[in-house]
Amino acid sequence: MSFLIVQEISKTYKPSASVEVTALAKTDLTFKQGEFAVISGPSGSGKTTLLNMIGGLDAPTTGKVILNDVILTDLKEKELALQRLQHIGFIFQAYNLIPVLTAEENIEYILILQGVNPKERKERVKVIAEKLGIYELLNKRPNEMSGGQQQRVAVARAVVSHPALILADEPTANLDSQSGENLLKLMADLNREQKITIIFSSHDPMVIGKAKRHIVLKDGKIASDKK
Amino acid sequence: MLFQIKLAYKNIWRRPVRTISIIVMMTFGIMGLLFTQGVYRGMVNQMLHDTIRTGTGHVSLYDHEYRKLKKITNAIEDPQKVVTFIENNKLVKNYITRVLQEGMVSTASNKRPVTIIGIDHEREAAFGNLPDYIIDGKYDVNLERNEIIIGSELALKLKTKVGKKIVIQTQGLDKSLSSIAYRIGAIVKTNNPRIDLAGIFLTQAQFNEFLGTSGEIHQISVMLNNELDIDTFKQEIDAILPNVIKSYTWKQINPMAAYSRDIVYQMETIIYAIIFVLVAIAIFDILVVSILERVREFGIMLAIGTTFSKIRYMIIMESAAIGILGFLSGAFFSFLMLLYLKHYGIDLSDASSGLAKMGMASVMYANIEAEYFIQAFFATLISTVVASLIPIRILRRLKPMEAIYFT
Repeated sequence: MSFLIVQEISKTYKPSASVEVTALAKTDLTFKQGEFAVISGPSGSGKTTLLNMIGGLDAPTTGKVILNDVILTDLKEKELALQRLQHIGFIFQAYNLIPVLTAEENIEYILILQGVNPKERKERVKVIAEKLGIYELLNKRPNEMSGGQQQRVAVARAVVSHPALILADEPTANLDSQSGENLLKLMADLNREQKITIIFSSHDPMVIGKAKRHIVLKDGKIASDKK
Repeated sequence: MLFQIKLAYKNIWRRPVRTISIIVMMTFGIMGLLFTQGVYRGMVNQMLHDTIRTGTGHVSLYDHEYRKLKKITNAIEDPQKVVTFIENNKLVKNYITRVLQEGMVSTASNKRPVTIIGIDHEREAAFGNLPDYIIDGKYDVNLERNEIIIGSELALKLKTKVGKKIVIQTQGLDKSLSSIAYRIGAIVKTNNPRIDLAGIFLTQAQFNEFLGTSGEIHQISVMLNNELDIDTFKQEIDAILPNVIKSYTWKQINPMAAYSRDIVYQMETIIYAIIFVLVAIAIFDILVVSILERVREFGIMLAIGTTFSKIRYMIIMESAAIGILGFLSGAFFSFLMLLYLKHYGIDLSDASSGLAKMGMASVMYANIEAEYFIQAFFATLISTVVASLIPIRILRRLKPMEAIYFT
C-alpha cells in the first residue's frame, strides 16, 4: 500500500491571456512510508512546484495527491491546513522562520497549533533542540542566528510535531558544505529512527548521493526515477 | 488564542517607531476630533445657557396677547394662580417674575430703544445667577441713589458708564408719557443680545413707582430640574391654565438660538467626519503597509498548518490593539486639553463684538462629555479594524505558496 500517491498532477500558469506556461506536465509518482527521496533537475524543471503540490501549498491544475488515503487535492483550505499541521513538515530553502519569535517559540508554534499541553511542548522542544545542537540558541531570534543555525531551527520546527512526511525544498542551498552535511546526516537519522518519509528537492550532489531514491525532472516531466 | 495574542503583541512592537507614529497620529486625530466637539458644544451650550439663564428659562409664560402686542396692559391676568401652580410643580426648579415695558433711553448725546425689565433681585440671582454677569458696578444697586443695571452693549452705544445718569422715557399704565432719570449702578454682560443691547433692569418697586403699576407681571420664566421635561411641563401648564397664560419654550422665543445650535451641531458633524476620514486614511495606509509587508510570514504560518481564521484573528487583534492604544493616548491628552479649555477657555476678545451679536461670549469654554470619548473610541476601533479587512481579503485569496512568494 502506497503512503503517498501523486496521480497525474500537472500545473499550468497563465501569466497573460495568450501565454500559458506548463511548470509540471502530467506526473505520476508513488512513495512508500519511510522513503528518503530526492527530486533533482535544473532550475525551472518543476521541483518546487511538485513539492508544493504534494504538500498542499499550491493547487494542481489537474490530478490528485493522496496522502495516507486522504485526497489532499479535494480538501478545503481549512482541512488542508489541518492535514499539513498533523502530517507534513516543511523545510524551506530560505528557512522561513517567523522573525518576531525566538527559536524556541518558532519550534513550539506548531505544537501550540496542535494543542499539545505546555509541559509536553517544553519537553519536546528541549529534546529536539538537544538532538539538533541548538539548545543554546533557543532564546535567540532568527536575525541573531547564522544561516546554518536557522536551518537547524527550521528542521526542528518541521520534525517536532512527529510528521509522517517531511518536504524539504533545497534545504542545503544556503548552507556551507559542513552545515549542509550535518543537516543531511540529521535528516538521514530521522528517516532511519522515526521512519519519517523525506522528500528533498535539490541539485546538490551531496544530497543526491545520500538519497535512497533519485527522481530527475526535466522541463516539467520525470526524466528518470531510480531507487 | 493566547499565543496569537502574544504574536500580535510582538508584531505590534516589531517596528516601534512605526507603531508609535500611528499612535501619535491617532492621538492628534482624536485631539482634533474632541477639540472640535468640546469647543463647538461648549460654545453653543454656553450661548444657550446664557440665553436661558438670563432671559427665558426653559419655559416662559405670558398673557395671551403680550407677545403679539407688547403693551404694559397685557399683563398676566391672575399671576398668583400661575405662581401657585409653579411652586407646587415637582418638575420646576426655580422661577422668576418680570414686569416689562418698551421704551427709550437717552444720554446727552445718544438715544436707544430699550426693554425696561422690572425684576426681583433675589429671585433673579437664584434663578440664573444674574450677579455673575455683572462686569462693572454692584448687583445690589443703591436704590436711594436711584441706581439701575444696564446691558453692556447698550452702555457702549450710549457711551456711558457706571455712575453716569441716563433718562428713560416710556408710556405708563395710564398711557401718559413718563420719563425719569436713573444712575447706572452696574453693567451686565450676559451674552444674550436682547439684554446686552437693549436691557435695563429696575427693581419691581422702581418699575411700579416709575410706571404706576402695582403687582402686574408680564413674564414668568421657569427653570426645570431637567431640560428633557420641557414639553411635559408645557403640556401640563397649557392644560391647567389655558385661558390665563400662553406658554413658550426657549426655542419658540429664541428660534435663532435653537437654529444656531442645530447649525453648529451640523458643522461639528461635518468637521468631525472630515477629520475622522483623514485620520482613518492615514491609519489605513500605515496598517495596510504593515500587514502587506508580512504576507510572506503569513504564508509560512499557513504552510505549517495555521488556519486562515487564526491569522485573521491575529491581524484584527493587532489592528484593534493599535486602535485602543491610540485611543487611550488620544483620550488622555484630549481630556487634559479639554479640561484646560473648560477652565481657561479660548480668548477671542478681538472678535468680541461680532460674537456678542451672535449671542456668544468672547471667551469660549470647552465642554466635556463622556459621549465624545465613547464616539471617538468606536470611531478609532472601527477605522483600525476596517483598515485591516482589505489586506485580510487580499491574503484570503492567496494560496500559502503564493503568500510566501508575494511581492
